[in-house]
Amino acid sequence: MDRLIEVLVLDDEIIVCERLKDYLGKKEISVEIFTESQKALERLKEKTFDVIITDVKMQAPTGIDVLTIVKKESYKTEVIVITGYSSIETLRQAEFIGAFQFIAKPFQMSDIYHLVKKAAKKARSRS
Amino acid sequence: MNTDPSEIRSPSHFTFEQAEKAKKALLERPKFTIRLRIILVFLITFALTCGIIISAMVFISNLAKQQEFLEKAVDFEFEIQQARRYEKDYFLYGTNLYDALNNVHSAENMKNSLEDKLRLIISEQEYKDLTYNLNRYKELLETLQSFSSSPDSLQRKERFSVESEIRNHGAAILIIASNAIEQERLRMHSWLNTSMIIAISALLFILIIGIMQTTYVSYQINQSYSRFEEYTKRIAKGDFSFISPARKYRDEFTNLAIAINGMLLELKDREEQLLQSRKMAAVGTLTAGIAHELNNPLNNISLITESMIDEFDQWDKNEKMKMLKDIFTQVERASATVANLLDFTRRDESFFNRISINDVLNKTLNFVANEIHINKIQLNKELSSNLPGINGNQHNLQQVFLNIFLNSIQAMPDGGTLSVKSYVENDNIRIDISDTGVGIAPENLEKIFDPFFTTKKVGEGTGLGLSVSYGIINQHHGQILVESKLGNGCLFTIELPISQGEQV
Repeated sequence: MDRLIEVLVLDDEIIVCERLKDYLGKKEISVEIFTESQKALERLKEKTFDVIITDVKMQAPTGIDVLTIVKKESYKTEVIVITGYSSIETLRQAEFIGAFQFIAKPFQMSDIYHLVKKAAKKARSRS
Repeated sequence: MNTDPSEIRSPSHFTFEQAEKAKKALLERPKFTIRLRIILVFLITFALTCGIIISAMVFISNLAKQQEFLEKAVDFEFEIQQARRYEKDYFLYGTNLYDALNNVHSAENMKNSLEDKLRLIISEQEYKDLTYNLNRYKELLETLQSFSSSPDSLQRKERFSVESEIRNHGAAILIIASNAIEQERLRMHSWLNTSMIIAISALLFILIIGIMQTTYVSYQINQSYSRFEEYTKRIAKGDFSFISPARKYRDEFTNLAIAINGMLLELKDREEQLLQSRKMAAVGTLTAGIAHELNNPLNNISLITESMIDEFDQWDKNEKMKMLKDIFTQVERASATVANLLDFTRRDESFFNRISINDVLNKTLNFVANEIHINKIQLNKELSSNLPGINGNQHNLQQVFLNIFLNSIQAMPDGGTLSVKSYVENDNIRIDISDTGVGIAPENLEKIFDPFFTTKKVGEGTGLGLSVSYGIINQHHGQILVESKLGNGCLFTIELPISQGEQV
């Protein structure tokens, strides 16, 4: 890898953000964390990330909204969707829009790390 | 369910006692069945008819006797008239005197046989006159007969005076007789007229009695029928209070009432089961929210512990303590969700406690907070801070509010505003729950509290939520009303009386 993988984490649970930043940061990944989707979207206008990790159930705009916007704006970003619980319908919707992977809570950070690396590789292979 | 057995036993035991009490009240009234009433009314009518027929028979036999008398009286008159004709013949031609005497004798016999009856019709004086005139007439005729053996010895002058006396007496007898006959005829006529009037009146009387009897019995039966019709409507709406005596006497409907009370006892039991399954169904609707509520703290705990395992040695004491405290908070968060859920689904329907409506509303709103959030619904809460407590069943009321909230949320798929208001009006606590959703069509508005009525697709709704809610509010002696226009949102108003019985 020539440069650091850049990840944006969006979840209204602050602990998720903090833990992922801590864990991934130590694996030489640059992480920016957001608990409000509106602020994350603003930041996304300024910068293109390799990977976005987002929760689904949030006050609007939801994770699905964020996924939709990102997929429309940039082909260079992969989105990993995490969720506490979602209907099959939401899963299919996320898949259709183009989520890289769907992860159910509770998850393990080591799994997330491997997914992030795979996603980043896919994202960079496009450029 | 592993609840304390006494807790389950006591409410049903309580309703069982109520059922027994209602049964006792129904049975301890004196028995006066409708069958007995019909028999009684029939007997009265029968007795009346008998009276009328017997008096008619007496009347007819009287009439026959009068007819008989009249015939004899006419015969008597005829005999006298005949005697007078012979008497005339005698005076003109000197013949037939013997025949005249014969007629007078038979007339006298007739008079004697009619004596009793005659005395009733004519006055004492007239009777005496009649007897005197008849005797005198007979005597004079006999005198004439004794003279006739030697006709020349009777002086012409003497014969003339006897002749005129005989004529006078004969005429007097005839006048009295015809007078008596005339009177008797008149009496018979008036008797017949009266009898006609009596017959018609009796007919009318029986007709009136018949109408009254039919009206009375059918009123008794119809009244009971409509009373039971009311009961079934009331029961269909979820009011399962037992039937108590409505009349002074016990009748055929009493057994029906007892049978319905037995059915109500069963229905109450079923209702509890239904309520329970409705709760479970509501919990099913909330599964997504509950899973989310549980998975988030679990995920947080998982992440923190994973970090701790990886980096336990690198962290200082303060960092470790912060992590452990975070874990503790997350465990509390998860267990609160579980406790809330268990509290809601617990089966203790029949207990009434002093409760605060605002508490119940807040707890229920917590349940649906997630749904409100996800569906982009704005919550507008105006709970009056000085609401008095009421006697109620917290879990059942929670169920009612939950049903309404979930309906409102489902009615606003594209977001909207859910308003919850509580306030005191007159002697009631009123709760207004309104939404800005799709509303209810007017033709459906009156049906929404009917069991199994639903506008949702098969499998999405059972159509029992609001009917169960209606029953619960009824149990609290309150009422639940709905106002809505299609496309214009919906307003549910619940009224709960502040002062009510100790336990229901």
